[in-house]
Amino acid sequence: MKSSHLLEIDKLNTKIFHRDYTVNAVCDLSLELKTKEILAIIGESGCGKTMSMLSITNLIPKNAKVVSGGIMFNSKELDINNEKELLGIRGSQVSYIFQDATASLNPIFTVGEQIQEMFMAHQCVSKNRAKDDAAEVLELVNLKPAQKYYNYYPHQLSGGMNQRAMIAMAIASKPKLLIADEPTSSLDRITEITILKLLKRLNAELGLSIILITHNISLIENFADTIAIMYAGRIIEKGPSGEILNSPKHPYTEALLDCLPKKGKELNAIKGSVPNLSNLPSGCKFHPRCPYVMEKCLKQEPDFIKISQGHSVRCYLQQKT
Amino acid sequence: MKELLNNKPLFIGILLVAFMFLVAVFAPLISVYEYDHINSESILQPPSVKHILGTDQLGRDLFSRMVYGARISLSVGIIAVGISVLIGVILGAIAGFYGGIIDKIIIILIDIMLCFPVLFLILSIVAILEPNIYNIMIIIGLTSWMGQARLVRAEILSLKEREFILVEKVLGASNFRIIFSHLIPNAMGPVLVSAILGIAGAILVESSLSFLGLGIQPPTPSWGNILADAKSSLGIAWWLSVFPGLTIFITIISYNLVGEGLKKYLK
Repeated sequence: MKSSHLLEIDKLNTKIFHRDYTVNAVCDLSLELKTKEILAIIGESGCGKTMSMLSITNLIPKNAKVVSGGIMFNSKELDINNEKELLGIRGSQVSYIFQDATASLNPIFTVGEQIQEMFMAHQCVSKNRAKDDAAEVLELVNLKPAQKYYNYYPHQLSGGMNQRAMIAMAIASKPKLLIADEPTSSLDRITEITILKLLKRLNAELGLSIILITHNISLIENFADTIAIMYAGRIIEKGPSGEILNSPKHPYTEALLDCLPKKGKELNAIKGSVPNLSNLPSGCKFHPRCPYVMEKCLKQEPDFIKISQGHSVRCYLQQKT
Repeated sequence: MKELLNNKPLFIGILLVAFMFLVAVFAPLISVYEYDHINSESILQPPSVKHILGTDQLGRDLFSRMVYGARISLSVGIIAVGISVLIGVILGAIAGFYGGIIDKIIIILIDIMLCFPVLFLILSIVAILEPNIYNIMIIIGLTSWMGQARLVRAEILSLKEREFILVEKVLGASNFRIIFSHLIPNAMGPVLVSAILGIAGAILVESSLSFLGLGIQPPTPSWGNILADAKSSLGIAWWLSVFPGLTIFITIISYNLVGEGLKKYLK
């Protein structure tokens, strides 16, 4: 395999087992991510974005299981079942940040103490040294003066500040990959942009690769290098962000872009709703909602069709006959 | 501070407990006589200026004996509860965090322990072992951790689903670190309340044991064995039973006040 990729996911399948039915949360998901690349994964709620990312370090719920697929991280095959190996990777190589930063921080410790703990746990440095290091990362995420913010408890800070503290915690041990799971969904528009700018800066300064999970397609225009659109546990279109935003090839991507609110335009919504992952339609999973549905869409799921270098889509409309 | 003054039970409770502690710590300075000083010329004296709480059948000063007894009673209460909190918190946290078969085993253990009538269990163990202060502390601790364990288990069950625990996991914290530096500190509020209420219970158990003669052995004074000595002369020397009884009563009440006040304060 090519070694230029930091992360390579090959045909990952994750299932959630309930007593009388099984949910195919992630289905044949394949992804590549280069070092320093920013990838945005876009999709509606419940389409398996978070599940697929948590599968990388096997942090999925107890009733879920990665049933097949391979993950290469940093040119090394990751063994999903080797808890000890994964413990060495979580936090120090792959970090996550989540939607609600205030709930993500332990309410009874100050943000500084929590960042300090990251240094002590991962780098085994002394307490005083860790404290200095914690102040340093607080500066890095623009919580200045660091000495002041070090002593704040999460409930004393705003959502945006907590998210920055959370980012500080996530990058404390210099991970190679940061997975940001809707990091700005609970924040207002201005804060949202400052957080994304911060992530972009960290990407440039620290060479941090980022996977941004979001459902807000308008955010990522100048942010992501590549985009992957997910629907019903599958990636249905992926490619360079400019290309996807300007000339979407899948009807779903097209519809998503059409949903964006614009001045003087009536709001559009995609007809229907996300299919139930335990009872998926046959053929192409989008066909019940697709305006261009054809007969063969009902029968067989289309495979990836290459549009250009790095841009491919799962739709029969693009098939050249 | 203002909140503390408004919270009357907590405030009064803390004052009373602090007073008891000062008395216990400074016992040698406060007591006028040695607690085991026998004086055949002042047997069964009622309270007077010389002996403010009177004297017992051997002419020992009741006040001095009670002051030294405070040391025994309070230290038994605190150390016994310390042991029970330690066991309860660790077992409860492990049960709540791991769940499954480990949880089931610990729950069964708790249920088995709760089946025993505790006082009789303690009595029979003390009857086999030597009834000294250390054995009594350990035995009370070993037979009273079940409530703590259940409390902590319930707290951990809900805490472990909170988002910051998932975050700790994804950021690479080991199970040990999650349990001991994130879950347990978050569960300490209710544990503290029940521990303080537990001290009252432990003091009561120690007094009962000493009263039955299987607790602290004379001549070392404890409130319980002072009461036990008093029962032979209940009719002629009221002070011998009233003062220790009242002290036990006030101590239990003050710990309960602190516990209840703290419960209100933490909400």
